[in-house]
Amino acid sequence: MRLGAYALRRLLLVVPVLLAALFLTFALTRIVPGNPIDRVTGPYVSEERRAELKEEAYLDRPFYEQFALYTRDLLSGDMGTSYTTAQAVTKDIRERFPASFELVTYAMLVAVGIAVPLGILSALKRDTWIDQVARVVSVAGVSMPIFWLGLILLYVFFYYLGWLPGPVGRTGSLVETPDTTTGILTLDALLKGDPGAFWDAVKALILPVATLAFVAMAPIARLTRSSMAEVLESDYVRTARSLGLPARVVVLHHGLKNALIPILTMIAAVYGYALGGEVLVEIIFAWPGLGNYSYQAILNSDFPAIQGFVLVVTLFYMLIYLVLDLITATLDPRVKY
Amino acid sequence: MEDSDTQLGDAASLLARPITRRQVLRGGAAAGVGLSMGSSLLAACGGAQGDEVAESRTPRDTLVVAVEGDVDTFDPAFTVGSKPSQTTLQNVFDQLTQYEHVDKSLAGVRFRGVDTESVQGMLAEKYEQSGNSYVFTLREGARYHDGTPVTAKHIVEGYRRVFEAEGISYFLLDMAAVPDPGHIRALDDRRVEVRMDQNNLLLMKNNTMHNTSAINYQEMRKHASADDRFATEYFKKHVATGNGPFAFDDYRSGDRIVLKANPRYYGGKPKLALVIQKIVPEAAERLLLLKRGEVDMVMVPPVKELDGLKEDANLRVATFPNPRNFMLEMNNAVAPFDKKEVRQAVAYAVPYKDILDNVFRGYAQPNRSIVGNGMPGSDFSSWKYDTDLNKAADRLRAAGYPDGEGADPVTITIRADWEEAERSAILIQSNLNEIGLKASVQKLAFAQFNEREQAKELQVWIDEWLSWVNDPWYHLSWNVSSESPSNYTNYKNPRVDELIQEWTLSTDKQPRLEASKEVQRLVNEDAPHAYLAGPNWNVVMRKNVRGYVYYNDELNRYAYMSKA
Repeated sequence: MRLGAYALRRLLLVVPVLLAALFLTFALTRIVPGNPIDRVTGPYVSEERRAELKEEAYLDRPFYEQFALYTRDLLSGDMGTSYTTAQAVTKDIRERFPASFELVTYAMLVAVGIAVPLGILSALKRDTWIDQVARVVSVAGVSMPIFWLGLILLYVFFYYLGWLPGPVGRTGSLVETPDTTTGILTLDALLKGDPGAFWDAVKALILPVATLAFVAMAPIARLTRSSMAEVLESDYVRTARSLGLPARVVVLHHGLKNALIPILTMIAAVYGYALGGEVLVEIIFAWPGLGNYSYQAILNSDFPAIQGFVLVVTLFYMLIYLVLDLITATLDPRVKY
Repeated sequence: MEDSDTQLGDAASLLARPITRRQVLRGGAAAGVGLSMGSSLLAACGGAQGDEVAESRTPRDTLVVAVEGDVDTFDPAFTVGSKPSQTTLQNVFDQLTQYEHVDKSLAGVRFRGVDTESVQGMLAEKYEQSGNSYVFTLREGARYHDGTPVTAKHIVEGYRRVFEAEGISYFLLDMAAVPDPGHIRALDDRRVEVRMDQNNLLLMKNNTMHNTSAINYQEMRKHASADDRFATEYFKKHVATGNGPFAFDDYRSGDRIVLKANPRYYGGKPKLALVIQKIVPEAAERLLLLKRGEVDMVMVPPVKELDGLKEDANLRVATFPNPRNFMLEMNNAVAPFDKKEVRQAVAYAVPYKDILDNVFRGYAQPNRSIVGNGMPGSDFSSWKYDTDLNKAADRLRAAGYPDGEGADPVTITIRADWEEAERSAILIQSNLNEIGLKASVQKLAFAQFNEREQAKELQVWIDEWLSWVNDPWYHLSWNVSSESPSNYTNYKNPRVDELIQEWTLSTDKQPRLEASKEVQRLVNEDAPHAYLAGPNWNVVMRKNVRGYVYYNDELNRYAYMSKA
């Protein structure tokens, strides 16, 4: 019950944080020169007509009024209309969020699936070749520009070997985009029992997921190693070992469980960051997700689209942290809530 | 600039031979050092030799085109921005009339294009002029894709919508002395009269554009509401039922626009059954897909890759010289460019040949007038600004700024995503510094650039202009009339204004062209711009793609295309 109340309290906190994020985005987009109307009208429209269009978009009003009007509309679920795509931002986000979510989530599953065992192994086998490999992978993941890695993977696996689809987004040029239920193509294919569509979706995901996962797993592997190394040297682990407990129990039950909290925090941070920050991966792979959408929105000063994007990513980030806090509270009895 | 070319070359050479780990690392290092954008390594791949795919992987009746961007709106009354949007409308709708196809030769290049002086029937089987009016007779059998016959009422209501929806496209009619829908009426079921306030030559040209596409008023009413009488919200993202050679099939935001052949098209069923316009924003990746045979044609290929692509036996680089004008524009209302002598000095200082050779690598022609080569009336005879730094220094002295002393610093503004503009700006900057002007280069994001340009606030900048309508007075009206919203340089010459007023709507064909030369001479003397180059329109396609016709609006017409 107390946990439920805590979760509710945290959920309520989302509102002021969202408002603050929204206000900041609103202010920044208005401070930076550029407005969407000039792009929409092109050179053929008179000053008068342009002024009318600005008036219709409230862009002739003071900043605070614009913000109040936007917030009012937002409360009724209206995020405005994108100037780049000419459709409701809510619809744009509904269409594009699943593409990004699918990409980022699979990338995180792969990253965590590799990085955590690698981190544990390298903590257990310090200064052995496994540790060196983990170190190289981590350093490479942190220092290698994500676009470069994506391009190399594309070059090798699409252009040179021809094994995987090229930068054509979620489906190949000739594959009809399936009608979706959830928007997550792999899941939709499974729900429909269509193995062909599932395989198409998986093939399209492999390279972008690998690119994102490689970069995402570096900090997770490094933190897992250091966190595990610290725990493995602690008194209670030494005691457990001296009591003759099996290595598996010592490492996983006593070691990992206690090392897990900072690791989970890192996973949450990387996951949240990846959803807002995988723009380059989406651009390289022509992925029709939120990253590409926000990139175009920023280039074109498409205010409603930028605000919608920030709102969704902030919300996603906060929900991940909420889940993390709930897990932490469950795992660590010292946490008070 | 040469350094980055070398690095690109290194990365490109990776593709010419079997890959090794060492090569990947070396290529990667070159890319990592030399490339500021993620696309560049793939751009290099696009220019490589070897490992080409001989067979296209797309079916013979399907054309897959990698296009550069997404759709902004599908409403013909509003389209000015996205080429994929405009191309879709152009293929889904027919206009009343269209230009005749001809073999052309321009700047030494032969290609299939259009004669913009010869207008033929399209939806209209014929047209006749009587005084200030044109009467168009619709062809029998012209139907919307849902089977509804195209009647005179549909055309009239289509025009009405273009005017009354308060969009953007009405300007094409308005500037041709057709100021409102009251000037267009149905004489009977098949005949439409368009009345001009003043007889002119522009109407028949302006009327060929996709912007005048007639949405079926019955369909419009189904989606209209009290607040939105013209269903503008609906048609932003829904292609109206057309009457052209292709019917709209599917649109997935950020992914693709699909068109299918209209089997009942009055001109005969198109050879292509399906056209898939696949949205691939990065130019280098479009090329990669083309080389692998995953797509048949790419739009807007990077100029620097074209030579490499020509060496690929499976590809064809089609290049079309055209009147596009890539210009250095100087704000006549901002110091030091408020002095004609300074503008002339800059015009003398521009390294034109370097820009043509090193930036456009031969895929551009010299431009020496505001009216580019290929547009009727284009006249380079009054040009005097071939690169000469001594003359540039003289003009600067005449302006009262010997060796640039006392002149305000010069900031050349360019769009951040435009490589040709950046490279040109750097070359110009170097020469301006040499004559004593303190020049710097400023990059702005697309929207910021647009806003400041349209507010006429920039000091000196690079932009380009291609008129949709191949007419010198149409072009001059937009660029050098002091009343034009797109005369961003604040250029004002009363004589130029007078001539534009006098000749734009004139029907004296030859004298009209001759008179345009006087404006070109005046503008060259006043030098509000320096004409850096006339970049070609380039399209790269698989060798088996046939029938590309270059139109001046640069929109693909798929009805004439096929695959061998």
